[in-house]
Amino acid sequence: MQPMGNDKPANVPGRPVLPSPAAPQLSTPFISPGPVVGLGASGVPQTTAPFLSSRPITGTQMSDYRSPSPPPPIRYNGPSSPPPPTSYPGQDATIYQQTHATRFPLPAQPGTPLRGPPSVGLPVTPPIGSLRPQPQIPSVPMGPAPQIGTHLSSRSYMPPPLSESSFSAPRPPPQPSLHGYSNVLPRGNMPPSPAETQFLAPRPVSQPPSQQAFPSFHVPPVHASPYHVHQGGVVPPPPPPPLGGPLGYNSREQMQYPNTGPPMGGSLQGLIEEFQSLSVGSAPGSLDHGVDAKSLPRPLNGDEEAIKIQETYPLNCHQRFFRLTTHAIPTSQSLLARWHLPLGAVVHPLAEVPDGEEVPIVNFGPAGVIRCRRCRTYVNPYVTFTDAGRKWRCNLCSLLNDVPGEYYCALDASGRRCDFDQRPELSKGSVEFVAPTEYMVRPPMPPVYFFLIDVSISAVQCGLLEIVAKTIKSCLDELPGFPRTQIGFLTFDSALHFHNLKSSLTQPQMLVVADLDDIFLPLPDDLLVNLSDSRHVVDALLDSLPSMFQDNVNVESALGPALKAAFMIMSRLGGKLLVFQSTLPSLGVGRLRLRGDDLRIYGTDKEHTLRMPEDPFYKQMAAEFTKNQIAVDVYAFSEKYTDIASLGSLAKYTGGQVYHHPSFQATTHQEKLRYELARDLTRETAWEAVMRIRCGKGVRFTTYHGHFMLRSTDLLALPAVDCDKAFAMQLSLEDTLMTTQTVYFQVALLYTSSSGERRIRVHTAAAPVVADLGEMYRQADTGAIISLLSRLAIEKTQSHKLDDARQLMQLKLVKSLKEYRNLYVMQHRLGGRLIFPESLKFLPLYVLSLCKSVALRGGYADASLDERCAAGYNMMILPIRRMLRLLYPGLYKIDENLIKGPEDFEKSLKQLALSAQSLDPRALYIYDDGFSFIIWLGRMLSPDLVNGILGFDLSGFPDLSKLALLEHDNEYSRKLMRIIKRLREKDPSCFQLCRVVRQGEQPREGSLLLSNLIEDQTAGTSSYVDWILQIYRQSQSS
Amino acid sequence: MVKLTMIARVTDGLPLAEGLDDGRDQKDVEFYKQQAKLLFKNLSKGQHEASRMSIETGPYFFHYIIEGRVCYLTMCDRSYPKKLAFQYLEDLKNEFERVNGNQIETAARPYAFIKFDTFIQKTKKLYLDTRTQRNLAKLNDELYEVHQIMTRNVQEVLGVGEKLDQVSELSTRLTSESRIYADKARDLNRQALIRKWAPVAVVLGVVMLLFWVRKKIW
Repeated sequence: MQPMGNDKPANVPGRPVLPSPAAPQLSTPFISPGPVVGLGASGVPQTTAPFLSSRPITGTQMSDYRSPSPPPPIRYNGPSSPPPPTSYPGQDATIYQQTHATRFPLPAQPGTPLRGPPSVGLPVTPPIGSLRPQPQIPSVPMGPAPQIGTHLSSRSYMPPPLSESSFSAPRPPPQPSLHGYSNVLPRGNMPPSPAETQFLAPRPVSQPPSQQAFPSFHVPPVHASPYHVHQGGVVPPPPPPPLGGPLGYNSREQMQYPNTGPPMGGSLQGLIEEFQSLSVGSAPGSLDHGVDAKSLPRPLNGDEEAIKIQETYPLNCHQRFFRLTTHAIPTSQSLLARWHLPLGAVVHPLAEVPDGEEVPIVNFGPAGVIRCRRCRTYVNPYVTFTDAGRKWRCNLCSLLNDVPGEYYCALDASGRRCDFDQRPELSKGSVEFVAPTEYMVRPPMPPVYFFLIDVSISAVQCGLLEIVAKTIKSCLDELPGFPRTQIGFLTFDSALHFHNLKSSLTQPQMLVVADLDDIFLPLPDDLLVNLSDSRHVVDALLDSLPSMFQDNVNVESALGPALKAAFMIMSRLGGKLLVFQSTLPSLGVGRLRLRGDDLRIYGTDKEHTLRMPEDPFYKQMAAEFTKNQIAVDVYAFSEKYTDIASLGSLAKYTGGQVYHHPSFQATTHQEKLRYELARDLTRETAWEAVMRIRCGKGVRFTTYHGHFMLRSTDLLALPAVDCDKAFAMQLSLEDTLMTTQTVYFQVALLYTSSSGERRIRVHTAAAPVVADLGEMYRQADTGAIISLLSRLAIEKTQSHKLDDARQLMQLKLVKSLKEYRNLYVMQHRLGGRLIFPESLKFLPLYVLSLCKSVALRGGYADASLDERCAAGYNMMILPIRRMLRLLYPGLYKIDENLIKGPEDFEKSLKQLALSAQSLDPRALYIYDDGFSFIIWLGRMLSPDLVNGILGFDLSGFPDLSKLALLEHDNEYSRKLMRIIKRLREKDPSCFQLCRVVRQGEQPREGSLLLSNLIEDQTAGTSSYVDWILQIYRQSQSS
Repeated sequence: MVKLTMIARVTDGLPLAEGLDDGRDQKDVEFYKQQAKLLFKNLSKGQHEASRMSIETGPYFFHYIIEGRVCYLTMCDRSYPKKLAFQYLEDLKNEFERVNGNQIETAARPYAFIKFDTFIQKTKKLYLDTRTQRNLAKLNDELYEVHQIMTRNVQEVLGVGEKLDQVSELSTRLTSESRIYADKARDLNRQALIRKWAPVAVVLGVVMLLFWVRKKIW
């Protein structure tokens, strides 16, 4: 069948590669997204158990952290490397040695330039035999049905050989200690250069507070005085290092060429670290705890994405798509063991991009997508072309590949291709390839929406049915994928109601099936129909649905059988299934029982079972759904317990989402439901997708966190994915010592767009390999760290107690700060201070608010089980920006804006610290956590303003919980609405429902606002100041 | 009954459209889809085929027509009237050319006209039942002649390329074998020569020896 390919002149030098008809077949599809792929045993996602200390750590006493070494991560056999700090006291020289040594590359490291191609361990010539195209298509077409997709996918990913010895290898060679050198350096070497303002610590007493980032430090004299002594006898100061962004890069350069600079330069460089510190020291017994609450760092300007990295690596994809927890990969296991925070990445493959920055689309045409033969990496800006442009070297596995004839281009003098600028795949970190036929096991599917609507009495009474029907009807014109879009409906209470939507009918027909044990479809066709053909029937159905079930008094809910029926209808196409559920499923398979209100189970070992799905039915259904490319979105409405933990697992394993609207009332909640449902239906969705993340040699992604199904060890199956979903994953090192200078990552998402095109979205990023822990801290990304940490915490709550999860978070934070402290504290005499890198200055606060978030807070009484689980499911998919907003919500004082009314809200809205101290009884505040707005009316707020906003008088103490904030005909109300609108535009992925609460209105004020003021001390939790003190004490103890 | 419908470009075998949920009840539909794709590949290699053909495969028939460098292919039961199948393909062809006619050559990605599947669905439904009045009328219509359309077996069709492979392989083997034969023949020739003249040489040698001995004695 394939007479070509064998004679490819690939190895003939001096001759360009001829275009060969075999080229498209060389690229075997890396995935087979069709239903043919078995799910196998990989259905169970690996839960992670990193860094778990086996000992329960109770309380927050120092003694608990006196363990001799931090618990090593799994698969690491060597002794943990941080030397016990007890050997240091008084010897600053020792510290110099250490920092100094770590800043020099180890002798084993090759001194190749930073960005050059890795020169170690390259297979120079590929085996000639492998040049033959793999016989994809069996030459004899008879025989068992060839499931080519499956067949190929098993071969397409070849993991780099894993050397077993690396795990049992002895620890890396001890760092060379430079004795003589360190003795030369006097301790007073610390330069009082202008750069010293970074240190914030040394001179807070003499400096006016306004010049510092954290103005009023309380510095105990005990610590300050010795330092001043040293400042007297200093050597002339070195030139001040560049501040901010360039610093990281410069220091890396220094590290790279240690012998070029004077030896002094190296050690000074080691000193000029950018870190911050907080004074927390206090005299024992004094009431003053020594921390000024105002000086604590707060992310009041939102999330600042690390633009630095974009400047250093301009070819990387944008930060919004891919963020590493630290943009510096450690060289060795021992270094990784000292980095106590998770090492990993947060991937947001379909993040919304501002206009003008769209991901470019590349069509290779018949040449096929250019990929590495061995590791299947897509061509990207970091590949290098050699041999006059006839070969390219893969940046991940460094294999030399042939350049297909159609893709050939000559190189210029600097070794770059001449058409470098014209080809987006060679100049941009994010591109989209048009997938050729090999990437399809079936023609691109149309967008399919199937609605499974609960019509039992509770759904009818709260007005849910009517709003859902109306919203769907209003969205019909905007559903993506016209004219192929398919739609179907199934309503259920104690029976299943199918709706025949055949286009030749004038009215829809309802077919009731009451047999729940043996589900069958009453019609073979016409339950799922083409929307444009049957539009009038669908309209008629949606118009009549609310009245049809108006008088329904059925209280039962047969969700399980309904899911099965929906599966039978959708299984041949796949698509999106939207489940609207207002009660606990009570009939047929998958019936659930009331189990959330058992107070006694909290605090016991069985506590986590409440947060796990009770019935395996839902997980099995989810596995079936994923296999058939069906994504499930769960909308839950009940005020009573509906077991979100079980229902949510449908969304969890199918790439769906959980929308929880507790105690839904049409009057107040309809706008939120309408907006979110409309967004769910009309946002751009990627169908039948699979995602894989490749990375260079030496590192490996081990665990993945988010909503997906793991199809093989590293392939995420996503029946539907959209711009509101992000995924997190953890990295591990394979080799003890990394030999490359740079590690590359490539995210590839293969999907079908709503318009029926098959595309591959590829994001490529590079990160340096460092041998220095300080550099890792400098490049740390708080947003990514906290996103990953929160996902770990959520997963922890599903196997352990809430308290364990919180302890784990705290432990990680403390360990990382302690490690950082060990790096710097002795040489700088910073006793009595909590020091932390600039990059992590918000981490303690975020960890605190994570522990206080709905998903993790308190115990039984602090949040209802359903809300907790729904929050957990939500946090698993949140992109970084929204996660940070949720963890540290915005609090704005807006009464002045309403009265004076400057038109420019954006500038005048100043975010306040989340503490009750910020609340002034004479003012009006708005609180925004990305999911809801809370408007807080001060007690002494002028009645005029209140009347204007609410439209009635507060003096009668009306019930504000039923209030829907509407625009009234006065200036205040219009302005408020404009502010709210502006705030909503900031985050279009969710509708923030506005709730009004007045000061002193209990218990609503407490549950809505006060418990969310995370800097305050609420029942059983510590305030921000206490938290910092606690962290400080624990990081002090060694 | 129509099981499968595919439309592809003949020049390079690029699939352009496909009926959506075709063959939902069949387990082996993937196998036949592969066969159809191989068929397209064969066609794209430029072996001149008739523009209308029926190909027998297992319990089914592939029917296809090639028109304007586009191949319209459908798979039907054996019992399904050929006439209706070709009528169905004609309908598809007319609509497809009307809608997408000028973009066919420029389509760069697979399934560029997947939107056409809605029309395929609709048309297919019309042809599902052979006994509707409409279809009976079509069957009785003598205007459309399908008798001369060739019927072949799928093995035959797909086997052509395979046989070419075999022939080339045989010929290469023939070349190398004949070279070996030539070597062997030369070798044999030499041996035969030796065998023929060895006795004469021996006799002559003996005679010469005798002469030499006689001369010595005397």
